[in-house]
Amino acid sequence: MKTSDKSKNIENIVETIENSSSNPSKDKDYCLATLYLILDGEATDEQTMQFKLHLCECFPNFNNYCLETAVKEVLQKRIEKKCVPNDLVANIKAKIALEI
Amino acid sequence: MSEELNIEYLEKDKHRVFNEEFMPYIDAMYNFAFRLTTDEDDAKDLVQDTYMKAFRFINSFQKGTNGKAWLFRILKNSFINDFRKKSKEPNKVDYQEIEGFYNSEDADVDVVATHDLRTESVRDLIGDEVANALNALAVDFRIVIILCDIEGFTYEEMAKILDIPIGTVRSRLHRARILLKDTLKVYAKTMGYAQK
Repeated sequence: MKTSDKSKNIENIVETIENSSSNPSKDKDYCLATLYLILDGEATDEQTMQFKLHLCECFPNFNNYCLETAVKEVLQKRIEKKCVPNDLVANIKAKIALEI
Repeated sequence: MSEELNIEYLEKDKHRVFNEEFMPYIDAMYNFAFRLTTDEDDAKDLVQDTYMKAFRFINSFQKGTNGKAWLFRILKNSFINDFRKKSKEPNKVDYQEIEGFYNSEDADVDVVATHDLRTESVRDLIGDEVANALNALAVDFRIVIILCDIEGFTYEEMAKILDIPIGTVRSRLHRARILLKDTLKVYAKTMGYAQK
């Protein structure tokens, strides 16, 4: 598909979705809320299936999906995990012993 | 949460439960404390304080239940009640204002504001930039991101740790993520990733 055809197609998809409800902003909120449920492992199978079907035909939603997944990944993988200081465990155990 | 049940542990059992149920989470606890205080010494004090409280109130912990969530709840409360009070300028969040705003039509503005943050720009960010963006959030928003995205707690566990309804967990998390993306967008622009 030529680039111009592709962008025309994307525009059509966006337009179709925006016209699919009397309140597109509510649809957008609903999509984002469902997306978070899926990313956080809280969605039902039905919600996941419906969302994935919708994802195939909704470019803004697909973009959001990629972005939110990337943000979650960098939070999980890029932030340094600190090592517990050597004396911390020993200090806690020593204080616990004094509690008896 | 499980602390509503009181169990009288024998002295030797207290130590066994403490070592088996609480000590395995020392890494996660220290990292949570460090992300809240952003200071290694304060994080050590906070973790030590949390474990002391956990030992003193061990009779209200039911063995085999979610020890990690129980400890996180104690640490979070200690941080809010003790550590944050010591700060000269506590980082307060007006939830009524924010959650009211989130539920209003104006909330849509945030979605528009983050549209130009690109996935590629996020993937280019290094750990320090992500950590700085996280630390830049108000502590109450930082907490929900840490619990959900870094520690992997469920909404139900988060609701218990934070002592708020699940609906509030979701709306606070939603708002926190929008704010985080805004901050990441600023970092990406500053570092020149956004122009790629």
